[in-house]
Amino acid sequence: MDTVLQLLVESLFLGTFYAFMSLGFSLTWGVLNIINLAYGSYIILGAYLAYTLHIYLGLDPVLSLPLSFTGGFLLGLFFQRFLMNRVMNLEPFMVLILTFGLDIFIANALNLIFRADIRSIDVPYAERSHLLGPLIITEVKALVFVLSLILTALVYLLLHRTWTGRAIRAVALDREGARTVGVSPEKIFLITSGIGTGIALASGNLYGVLQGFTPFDGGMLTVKAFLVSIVGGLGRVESAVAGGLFLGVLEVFTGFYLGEGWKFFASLIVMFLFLILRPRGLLGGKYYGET
Amino acid sequence: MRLLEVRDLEAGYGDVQVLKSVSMHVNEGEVVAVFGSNGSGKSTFLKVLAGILKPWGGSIKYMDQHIEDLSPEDRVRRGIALASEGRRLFLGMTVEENLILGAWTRKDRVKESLEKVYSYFPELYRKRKDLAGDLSGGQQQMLSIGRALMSGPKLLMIDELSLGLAPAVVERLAGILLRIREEEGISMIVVEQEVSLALEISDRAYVFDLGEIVDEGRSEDLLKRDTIRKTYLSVL
Repeated sequence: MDTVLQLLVESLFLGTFYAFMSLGFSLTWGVLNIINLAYGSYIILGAYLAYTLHIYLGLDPVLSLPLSFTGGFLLGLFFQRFLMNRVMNLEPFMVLILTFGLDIFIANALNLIFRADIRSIDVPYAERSHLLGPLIITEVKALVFVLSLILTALVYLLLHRTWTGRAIRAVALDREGARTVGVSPEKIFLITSGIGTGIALASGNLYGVLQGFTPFDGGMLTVKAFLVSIVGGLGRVESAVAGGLFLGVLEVFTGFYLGEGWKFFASLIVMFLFLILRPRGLLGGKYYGET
Repeated sequence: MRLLEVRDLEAGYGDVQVLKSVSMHVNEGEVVAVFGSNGSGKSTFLKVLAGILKPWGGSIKYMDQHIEDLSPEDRVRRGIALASEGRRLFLGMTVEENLILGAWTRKDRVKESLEKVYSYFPELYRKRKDLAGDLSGGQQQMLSIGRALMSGPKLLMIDELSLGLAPAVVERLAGILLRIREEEGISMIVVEQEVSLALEISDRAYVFDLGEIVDEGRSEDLLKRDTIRKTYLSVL
């Protein structure tokens, strides 16, 4: 019983991180109708940025979170303005090719600068853990959980309580309707791309303290964000939370009972089942095939 | 006093021309009906006026200024609002969120605009926390008009007021529109397939056919005209 409880807490911690990590991917897909294959590399870019700031300036990854978000936001604006806008109205295949190319470019640029060795951000609290009744709580995982929770709540508030957030949701629901009330979808695309990339880089900070990373880990993270979006549904914070928690439970329990090697494989099987049997995801949001 | 003056307007989609040399005008405080058969270009005409579709040629003067090159956002800001065909509501958002977004171009006056809209459509106030997608057809049409009113328009364009609605609901909506015209002094262009309704609530009307204006006049005169009665009112 204690083991199951421990696994549930681990699932909650990991799932909440996955939810935050995937928010940008899900938002970009839901609003811009773009499947960004470079998303995982954005996260890894964030991890290397946090790593560099930690090594050279001694900045804790938690403190450099706002810097990563801001850097990501500006990068997202740049990518949208100068790359995505060129292909958005063409065949969807063109977007996939462009973001795939971007993914390869970022991974190889990071490899050139940092080499392929596994890096990790060695924060002083990395090894600390506490006993809470029958549970062992690792400080770093608890910290990532709390931060992911707060940041996800902030994104929710942004989308539901601000003019920009409402406009983002409006564009996701009906572009022409948004245009009718005077919202410019093109400006919203820019802002959404900025926020989405900002979230990716900021989640890279958290990923970097959770585990080691190399320049080529982005692909696997993109698949995870993809899975969260498929399982939860598109373009809504609640959907990302549902999808993230689902993936957290799946990975933790599969890893414990079947072995680490099964984690990723089990996730892929579940993703295919959702694609076929429940394409609107757990919460029945926007269908992944809807434009 | 002319509020809107359209001259030789041409527009279309891709290579297909829909509007051919359309000229019309709307005076201040006037309700103008536009009707015609399916595919005659009525909705395209409104989309061009709202800035959603770029015209191929011709001119659009609004309050004595050319607006052909203005974005939809700038047109809404100047007082041109559209309640679209199919309503184009944000179905996954609440009624109040839909209305608030209608005030996108005048964010400082949300509260008073909401009060005004709720005074015309008390049902929307009662349903303000419901999702737009859960409303009935009539309530959605009210929301569509209410959302357009939130921008404080001088020219309100309504595309297919009666589409899919019960006659009693349409009659109520028509009554509210006339009240809005009277109390707010808003000019309106009403695109409508239900010709008797269109002529009943309007001062003047234009008849569209295959992208051209083929007839126009005062609504009461058009109601008496044989060609109109035979073609659109099924009177033999």
